[in-house]
Parts: sequence; structure tokens; C-alpha cells
Amino acid sequence: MKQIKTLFTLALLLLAAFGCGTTDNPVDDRDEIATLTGALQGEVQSIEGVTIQVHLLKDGQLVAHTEAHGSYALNEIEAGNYTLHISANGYQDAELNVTVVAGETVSLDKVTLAALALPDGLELGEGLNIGSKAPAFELPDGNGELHALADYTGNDKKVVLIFYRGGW
Amino acid sequence: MQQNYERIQAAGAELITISSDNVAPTKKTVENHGLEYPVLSDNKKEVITAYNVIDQSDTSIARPAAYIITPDGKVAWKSLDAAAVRVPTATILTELGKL
Repeated sequence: MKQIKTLFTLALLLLAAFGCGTTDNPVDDRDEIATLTGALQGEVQSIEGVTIQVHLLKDGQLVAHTEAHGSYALNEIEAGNYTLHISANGYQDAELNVTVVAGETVSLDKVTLAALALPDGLELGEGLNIGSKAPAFELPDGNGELHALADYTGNDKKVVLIFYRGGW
Repeated sequence: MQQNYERIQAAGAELITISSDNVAPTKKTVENHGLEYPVLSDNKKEVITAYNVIDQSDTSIARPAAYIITPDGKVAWKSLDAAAVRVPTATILTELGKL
């Protein structure tokens, strides 16, 4: 009886190891996948009570996101070159160029975010005071063509400036 | 919004819209909605920061917000909106009429 039980357990283990679902796949590529991904870890100087957003981008597209209170880690990232974007409420953004190496955990330098200077009496994200000067700007549109605020004001034209959340 | 763009122009104003999207998704937004007003990409959030409209819960994007800027470049009016809310164009037109 004990032998039968042992055999049964062995059969179960074999099933678990090879899996019914993989037998119809001529190539088991699980190992290959494991070698093509790597991990990143790093540290941001922690800011009391502030959540730090960590975005990993490839060619401007979001690949991974995590939140940090001090240290952060991004796992199972495809090997390659990325931009790591670190931001926090009330602080200037930091950007790092990072390379993910297959099968490795890359440790990044510690990042310290500089505090944003806000005009007197303003809370972060609460806009500008009425009557204050509208900051000049020049930004690209979807075709890369630059538009400046000054192109639109003047000639007695008011400007309605709308900020929207966007795609990500 | 296209029709409302014409209403804003008729009220003597130009419309500019800004998000933290990159240039390529900005182009997609314009194409998807057939927009004729400037839709600008501030992926470094320089302008979003300068206008102090960073989203409090996700600092990688702007909160929905609107400003009216006078011809001499001063902030005449602002609207800071909740996450899923855009300021009604009717409100903007009313405010433009007051200036």
C-alpha cells in the first residue's frame, strides 16, 4: 500500500513538472523567457508622507509603474534600454537612463528629488493667482510643430488654456 | 469640442490644450477627434508645473484645469476641476464675456 502511494505521488510530481498543457507545445520556452528578463532596483531619498511615483518608459511608452517610499523594485522587465522617470508631489522630476540586463538585477544610484519652489501662498496643484503673469511657453503639437503662448495672445486675443489628463 | 472651439473663437479667444502625453499620442488624440485647435505635448511637465496644475494623486500628469489669459498675458480666471470633470464650455464662455 505504501509503495502504491509513493508511486501515485511520483506520478503527480511528474505531472506537475511537465504539465499537461505544455505537452502539445513542441518547445518549452519557459527557461528562455526567464533569461530574457531582468530586474531593476533602486532607492529614492524618502520624503515624509509623500508617495514617489516610478515610471519605466521605452521610447516614451509606459512599460512598468510602481510607487516607492524609499526603495523600489521593478521585476520581469524585458532586457533593453529604458528611461526611468521618478516624480513626487511638490518635487522636481528626475530621469535616469537605465539598461535592463537579462537574468540580472541592476542596482541604480540613489536619487534625491529637489523640492519645487512655489510662489508665495500657493498650494501645489492649486493653480496660479488671478492677476499674476501667465508663464510663457513653447511646446510641440502632434506633428512636432512648436506653438508659443505669445503666438496666440496679443491683437486683443484672449487665450483659453486647457490642461487635460491625457492618455497615461 | 470642435463646435465649442468655434464658440470660443467667436468670443474673441484662442484655445490651446496641453497634456503630459508625448508627441505621438498627442497626434493620435488630434486624429481620433478631428481637432483643429492646438493640442500640445508637455511630456517634461514644464508648463504643467509652471501653471501649478500637477495632479495631486498622480504627479506624472496634469489635473483637469482651465485658465483664461488676457491679451497682455495675465491670468484672468482659472478653474481647477475634479479628476473626471472638465470645466463646461458654457462656463468658459460666460467668463470670457465678463472680460
